[in-house]
Amino acid sequence: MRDRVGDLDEAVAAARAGDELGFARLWRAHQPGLLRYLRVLVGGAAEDVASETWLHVARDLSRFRGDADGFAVWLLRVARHRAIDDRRWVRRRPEELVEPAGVPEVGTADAWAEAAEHLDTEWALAVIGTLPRNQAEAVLLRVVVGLDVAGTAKVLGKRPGAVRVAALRGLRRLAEHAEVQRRRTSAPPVGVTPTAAATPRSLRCELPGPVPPGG
Amino acid sequence: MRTPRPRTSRRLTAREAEQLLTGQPAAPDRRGLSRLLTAAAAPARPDELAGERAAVDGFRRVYRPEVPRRRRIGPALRRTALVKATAGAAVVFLGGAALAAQTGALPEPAQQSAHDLLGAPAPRHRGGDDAGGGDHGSTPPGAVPAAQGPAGTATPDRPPTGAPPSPTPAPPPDLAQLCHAYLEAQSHHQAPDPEVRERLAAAAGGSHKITPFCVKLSHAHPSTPPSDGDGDPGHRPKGRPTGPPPH
Repeated sequence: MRDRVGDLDEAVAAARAGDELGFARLWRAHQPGLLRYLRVLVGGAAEDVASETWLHVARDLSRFRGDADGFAVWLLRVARHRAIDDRRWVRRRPEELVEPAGVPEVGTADAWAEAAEHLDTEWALAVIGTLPRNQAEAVLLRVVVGLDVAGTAKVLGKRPGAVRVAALRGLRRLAEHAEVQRRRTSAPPVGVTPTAAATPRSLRCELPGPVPPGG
Repeated sequence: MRTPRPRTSRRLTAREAEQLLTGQPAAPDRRGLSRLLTAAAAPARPDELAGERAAVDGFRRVYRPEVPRRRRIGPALRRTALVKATAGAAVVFLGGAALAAQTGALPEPAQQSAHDLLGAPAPRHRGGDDAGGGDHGSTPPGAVPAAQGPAGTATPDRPPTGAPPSPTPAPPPDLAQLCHAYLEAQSHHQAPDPEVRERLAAAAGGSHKITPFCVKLSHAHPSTPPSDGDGDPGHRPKGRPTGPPPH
């Protein structure tokens, strides 16, 4: 995701002039990272907040002055204000944060692979979501959104040094996290069938295989 | 406070952290952390990009092209003109008030407000002793003509009918009455009531300023009973300065 953020200067210029294709390029480049960031911040309201954010940006885009990096900072600033002003910061346990929305009904190999990947990302976000907020935000903005230290500092309204410290502390915590420790030695990151060890507890009963539906 | 965690690995350094944050390859014992971050930043999934059409529709709906400057010249010019006119009026108003304040031509409360607001140099200190001498600042000792002259300069266009100039606020009614009494007594060569004198001195900024103060007051607000009916014309210059200043 990180590599897509670059080279968007032209898209920014085009979208600023009203070009829909330019706007679509920006949306495709930023929406996944934005959504993941917001999912950790506001949980299930992430889609709504992301939509509001894009509308806000679309409305004011013609007056935006800046390049692709500046656009990313602006977008995330708008999103963060909407998430923090309007909603409460949601800090959950990893098990609670993972939503089984992407789990396929039919157990084809491809669908399972995709679901496993999906779960892997959701698991990672859930673990990051257990961090204190400033650390979680610093890690997400740098890793998931792909901002540099200066951009992250602008989004968070902090000094770059504070961002560095928050990200470092967040990573140290994550390194000590039990789930991360367990996965350190586990073999390939994504298996065709999610194993019990790699699946958050609350999801095990949601998977279509082992548990019969109903009750 | 903080839950102790089992530390099974060495402490992450700042350099390692930066490498992990920017997606660079990590040391073998950081594989778990690296994997977590890679999974968090994994390529977009189809369901994350499902809303593109709706987003572009929204863009089409709310996007507002920047209004070219040329179109806004009309209103902008009107606004500019209005701002200039307002600023000009403010300058005239404040300038007049500042000049009047500088010369001590305003009644005491207005005088002090003017010094506070406009920063005009005070002719004398607030509540200064009128008998002190030496503290008169820019006010010449000959208080009457000195006070009348610059005041006339400050409002040269005032019609002789005596429309009150806007910078001078209406005095409290009792002040006008006191002035009337004071000038009345003076015109009859009588000693004014000490209490009247004291209050007027406080209002005018000194006992030697009572007469110019009251004269100004009387013709700034012509509804006040005139002060110079049948008095001695040679004693002191009285109100009704319908002409230019005496010097």
